[in-house]
Amino acid sequence: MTSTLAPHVAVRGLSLSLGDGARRRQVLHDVHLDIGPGEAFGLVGESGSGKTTVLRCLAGQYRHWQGQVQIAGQALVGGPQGRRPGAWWSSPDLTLARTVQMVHQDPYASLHPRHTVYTALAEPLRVHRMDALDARIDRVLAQVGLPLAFRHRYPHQLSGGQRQRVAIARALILQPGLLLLDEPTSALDVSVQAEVLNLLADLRREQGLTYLLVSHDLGVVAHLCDRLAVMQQGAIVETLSSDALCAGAARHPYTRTLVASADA
Amino acid sequence: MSIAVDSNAGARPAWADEAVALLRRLMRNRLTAAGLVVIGLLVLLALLAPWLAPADPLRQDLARALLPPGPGHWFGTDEFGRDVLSRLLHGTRITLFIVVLVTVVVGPLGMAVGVVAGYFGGRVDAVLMRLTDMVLSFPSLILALAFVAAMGPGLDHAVLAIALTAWPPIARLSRAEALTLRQSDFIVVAQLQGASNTRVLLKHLVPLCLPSVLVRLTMNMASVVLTAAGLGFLGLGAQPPLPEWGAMISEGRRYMLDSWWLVAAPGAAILAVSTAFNLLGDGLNDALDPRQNT
Amino acid sequence: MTASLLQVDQLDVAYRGPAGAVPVVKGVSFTLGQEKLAVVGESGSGKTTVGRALLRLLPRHAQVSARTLRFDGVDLLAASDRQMGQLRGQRLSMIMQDPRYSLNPVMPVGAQIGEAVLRAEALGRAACQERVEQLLARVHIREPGRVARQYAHQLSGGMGQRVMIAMMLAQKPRLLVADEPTSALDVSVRQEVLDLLDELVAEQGLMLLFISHDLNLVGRFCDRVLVMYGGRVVEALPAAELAHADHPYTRALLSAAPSLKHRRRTLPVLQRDPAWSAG
Repeated sequence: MTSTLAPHVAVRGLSLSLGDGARRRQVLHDVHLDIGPGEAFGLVGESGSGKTTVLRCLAGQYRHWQGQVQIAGQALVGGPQGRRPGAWWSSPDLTLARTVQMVHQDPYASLHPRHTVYTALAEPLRVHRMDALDARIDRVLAQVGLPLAFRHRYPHQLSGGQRQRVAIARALILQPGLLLLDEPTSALDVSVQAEVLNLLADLRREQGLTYLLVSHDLGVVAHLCDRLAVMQQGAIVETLSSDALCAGAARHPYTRTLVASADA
Repeated sequence: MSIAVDSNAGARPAWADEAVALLRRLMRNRLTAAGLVVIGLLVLLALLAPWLAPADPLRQDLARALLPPGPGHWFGTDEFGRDVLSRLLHGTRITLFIVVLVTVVVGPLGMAVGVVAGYFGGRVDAVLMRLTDMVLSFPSLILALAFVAAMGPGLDHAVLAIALTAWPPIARLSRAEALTLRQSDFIVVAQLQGASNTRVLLKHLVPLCLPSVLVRLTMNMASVVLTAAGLGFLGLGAQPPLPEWGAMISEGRRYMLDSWWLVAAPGAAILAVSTAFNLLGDGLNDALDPRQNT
Repeated sequence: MTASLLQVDQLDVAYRGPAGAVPVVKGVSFTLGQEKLAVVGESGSGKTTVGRALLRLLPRHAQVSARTLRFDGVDLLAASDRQMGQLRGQRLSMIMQDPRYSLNPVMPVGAQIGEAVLRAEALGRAACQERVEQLLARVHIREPGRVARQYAHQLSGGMGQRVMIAMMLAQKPRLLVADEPTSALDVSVRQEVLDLLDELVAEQGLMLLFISHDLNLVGRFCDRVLVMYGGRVVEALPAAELAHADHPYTRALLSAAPSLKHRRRTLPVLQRDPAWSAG
């Protein structure tokens, strides 16, 4: 089932500072991004580059950023007026939840340890008061290649790769158009990584999803994404297509260093 | 995928399996098992007291006052000729009543304050924690005394007083758990899915704070028993002729030197029950914590 | 002269649990001379257990047995706790994956290296301080005096790992077990740490057992490779011959990682054969 909304993501001049007083530091400098509908876009960088921070801003975890962010034509509100999840006065943004979902890095931390797979998948459906829980859950489990018998398993009864599949299923069950992927395979064994990457590629083709993938692994980004941006110390230093990257056409010296280390 | 039949349909619910597994783990440790047995005995005796007690705990027989332990009165009689064993057995009901009522009030109250403070942070946290600090800074027995003095003596008031002073440690504990857990990825996911704060708190956060709170509550029960006995001893808890163990010690104090059984019997009962709760709490701590987070 | 040699023959490690003994390492055999030997496997392959078994750093419920487990003539299985305590650090040493977790967070790193120095020889405070700075300079840390006063959390990953190596060098060990030393580091920093290890092997005759999950990395860095799966060594070969590996698991590991040079639409998926970890 294809999603009805394939978002276009536009980020202009995104800047963010964290900390207060003497410890204040700027973690994002003037980030510009454009992701077309159905495109897979990668953000590459090392630790401290700010790539995960960009993701968190889009997911709504950080609200006090400057700049403009638009997802599927809907503007996200930053600054102090922006709604912050977890504040006692905030009410959740249900529309945004049907548009954007996220897959986290650590499969051991992204599933609630006391919820079965069924509960974890049913939760978003219940929040949005959707019907046909069983049918939707079964369908999404089939999409990620997990047997139905897994519905009653707890996370500690699943392997890392299986947990990550559940996390992907959970992200897809609301049928969002945009998936934010935070290093989804870096905590997995390389053979399991291959399966999950294949799964992600297949899902995108079948459902016309848009991906924003964050990773430190250039190989993973080049495999899954059409275009990518290289970040260093909170700023984008180069944006290019993965074809160009693999053909050695990167121009910025930092990008070239990353390519050299990846390929050595 | 073409698997149509779900082999798990109709199986025992997942939480029942877990409860059985937990019980098995608890019984593996001898001390914990001992604690569990004693508490099981307490519950059983409380339920069957009217049928097990050889005599009416309130019936006075002055001709048979202060008899030492022997056949007919296995724990002797008190100054009014009442059978101490029967009073002890009926006292189990009172003890259980106190423990259960306090736990039922303290647990939810403490957790509510704690998780709300820990999850929201900021001003909510500050206000709730200052309130907690205020209650925490009073010595519990003295505060309980003050409550009882204001409300008048009686078992119900004693229970309420104990409950109102016992919740701060639970609040502190829940807050600490909530603080750590609120950063977890699965909480972020829940927020991203559009779950309201109430839902995140009740469905996601509270189940994870529960184990450590349960352990703490179980160990608290020991001190609840002692505080209730203390209040009873001071004449502010259960009123005569109710056979509450602390009150029994208080009344028996006068005859203690010659009639040691008046104090020894209820004292031993208090000791056994408090120790049992402590051992159980300890065992619960081990059984619940490390395995839980694999 | 018999060069220092680590001889491992039929090493078995099992964990005693409520449901019986669970074998984690089965029949692992190899020798290590003055070279860089890689032990590669995924999670659950037993590679880390092998490393820890050599230093007898496994928990109490682990059962270690072997036909031979000798280092430099010393029988590691029969050695007493005291003997092992003397061997560890001074002749056998280990560095681990994440310096943030293996360095003491409440002591300045210089003090921690100092502790290691004092275990090797008794020195006065000034002499010890000097030795600490010497060691930091040896691992190519600029401004050793300033770094010695810093705490673990103030160091970057690469620096932290170099501090670990400096601590290890203080006692001049003969054998180093490195358990995923570069996995937590940024890609650009990895090569520096690997170069450093290379230097130490060449100059000090260090024997290196390099545990990793990254077959491509060890293929470039090490001399020989042992590939482990399900507790067994499924293949042992010189690093130079990795491209012509025999065993299907090794070949699968080599081709599973996405590469910039060989782009494929679908990554090859490993078909696990239970026969690999049995028999």
